[in-house]
Amino acid sequence: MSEGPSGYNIGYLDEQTKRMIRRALLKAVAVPGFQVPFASREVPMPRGWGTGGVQVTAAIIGPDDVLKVIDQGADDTTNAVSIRSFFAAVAGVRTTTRTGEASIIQTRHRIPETPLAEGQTIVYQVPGPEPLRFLEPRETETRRLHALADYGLMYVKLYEDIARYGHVATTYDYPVMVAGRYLMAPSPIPSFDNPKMHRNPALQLFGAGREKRIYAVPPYTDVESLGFEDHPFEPQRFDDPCAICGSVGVYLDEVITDDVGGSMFVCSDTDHCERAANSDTNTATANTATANTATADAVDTVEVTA
Amino acid sequence: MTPAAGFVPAPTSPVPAVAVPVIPAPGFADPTRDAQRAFRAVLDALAHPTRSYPLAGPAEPPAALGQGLAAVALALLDEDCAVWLGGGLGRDAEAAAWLAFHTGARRTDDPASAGFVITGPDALPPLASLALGTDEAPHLSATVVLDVRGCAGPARFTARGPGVDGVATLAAPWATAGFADAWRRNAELFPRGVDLLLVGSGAVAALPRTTRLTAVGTGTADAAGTAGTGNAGTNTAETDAELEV
Repeated sequence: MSEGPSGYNIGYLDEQTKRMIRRALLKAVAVPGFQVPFASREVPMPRGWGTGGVQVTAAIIGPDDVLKVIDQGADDTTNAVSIRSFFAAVAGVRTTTRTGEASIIQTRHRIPETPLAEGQTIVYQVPGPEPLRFLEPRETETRRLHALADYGLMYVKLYEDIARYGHVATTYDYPVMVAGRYLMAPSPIPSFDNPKMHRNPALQLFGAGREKRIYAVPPYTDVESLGFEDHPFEPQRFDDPCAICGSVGVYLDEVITDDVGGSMFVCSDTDHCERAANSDTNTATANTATANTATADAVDTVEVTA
Repeated sequence: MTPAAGFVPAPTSPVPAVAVPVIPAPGFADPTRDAQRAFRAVLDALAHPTRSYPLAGPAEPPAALGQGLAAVALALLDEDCAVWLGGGLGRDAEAAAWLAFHTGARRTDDPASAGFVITGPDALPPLASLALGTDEAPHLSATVVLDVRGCAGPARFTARGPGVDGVATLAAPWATAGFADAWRRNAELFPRGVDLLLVGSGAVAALPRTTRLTAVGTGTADAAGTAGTGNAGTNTAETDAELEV
C-alpha cells in the first residue's frame, strides 16, 4: 500500500477491495447493463449518500485524474463538496467544477449539460439498481427475469400509466434498454437526461453501495428509453429560459425566492450556468444566450484533458 | 521457508523440478499507483474494443510473463481468483512462484474452473470449454488473458459492438485458424461468454464478448474457396470482402 496525503491508503480503500471492485467493473463493461454483485464496503458516509459511486471512483481514480462531483447538477451542495474534498484528501487528485476539464465526473442524479467527450468517465450514484424491484420484490425472480429478458412487467406498468394518466407518469429513473438486451435503471436522473446516455462517447459506470451492485454502459452503446409506437418516450421539456443565464434547452430547477409564492427557474447545472452567464456579460452584444452557450461548450470540448 | 513454500501446485500440473529462485523478483515499484494505471489501461481497453493502451509493468518480471502479463496479473489477481496457466507459461516454475508470491492466486489445472486463463494462443483451450457464466450470472465467466508477444499471423478483422464507434479494424496476428468461428459462437452465447484481454509486452487491447468480428480478406489463397459460403448472417452494408474463417 502507498500512503496518501491523509494517512489512508491512496483512494481510501485497501488494495484487495479495489481489485474486487475492479474485477466487477471489467465484467460490468463486458455485459452492458447487467448488474454485477460486489462486496460493498463501508466508507465514511452513510449508505444511501453515494457510497456506491464513491467506491467505484476510489477503484478507478489515479494521480493523473481530475475529479468533478455534482449533486443534482450542482458543484456547490453539501454532498458534492464533501465527496470532492474527500478524494482530494485521500487520493491527492486535482478537482474541478468544469465539466470539460474533468476526467472523472461522479454524479448524483444529473448528466452535465456540456456534452461528455471520449476519455471521460461518469460515475453515477445509484440508490436502486433494479428497475423491476417495485414490480417484483423477490431478487431471485428479478434475476430470472433478466436472464430471460422478460420485461413484460415494465411494459405493463408503462401501459397502465398511459391508461390512467394519458402519458407515462415517470419523470426520473426512467427505465432504459441497454444494447437491446438488458433493462437498466439509469439512476434517478430526470428523463430529460436519458437521451444523453445513448451512444455517449464517455464510459458510464454505476455504483449502488447499499444494494451492492455495479453496472456499466460502454461508450457508443445504444441506450433506448422504453416507449410504445403510439406513445413514444418523451423527455421533459422546459418552455422558459434559465432566469440567470438565459440558457434554453437545459434542465431547470425551481428556486423559491420569498414566502409569498414567488419562484424562479434556474439551471440545475451550476457549471453550465456560470459559464453561460459569464460569456453573456463578456460579450454583451447582440449574441443570444444560446449562441453563447454553444461557444462555451465548444471551447470546453477542446480543453478536455483526459 | 522460501517465499514459494505456501504455494502447492496442483497434483497433475507438469511443473519440472528445476531450481526456483529463492526470492522472486519484485512486483510493482509503487503497488497502489502502478496497479491503478494498469487497471485503467485494461478498463479503457475493454471499453474501447480493438484499441491498444500502454501498459507498464514491474521492472524485472519473469521472462515467461513479461511486463504486460505481469502488470495485468498484479493489478487483477489475488487469493480470490483461480488461475489456469497454459503452454510454456504453465511449465515455467519461476513465473508460477512469482505469481504465487505476489498475488496469492489459486492455480488450477482445469481451465474450466479458472476465472482467469493466462496463456499464449497456441495453448488456448477451446473457448466453449472455459467457464462461460450462466444466464443469471454471466459475470462468472472466464477472462482469457492472451499472451500475444511475438505473434505473426495474417488475420485481420473488422469489429462492431458496444464501445466501437461504428466499425473498427483489428490486426490479429495472434488469431489461430479457428478463432473467428470460435469467437462468433462465443458472441452468440450472450450474455454468457468469455472476455479476451490481448496483452503484449507493453500494451493491452481487449475483446469483450459483445464485440462482433468479421474476417477481412487478406489475399491469401484459401480466401477464394470460402468467400461464397459465409455471408448469410453478416451485415450487407460491409464493403470489405467478408468470409468466415
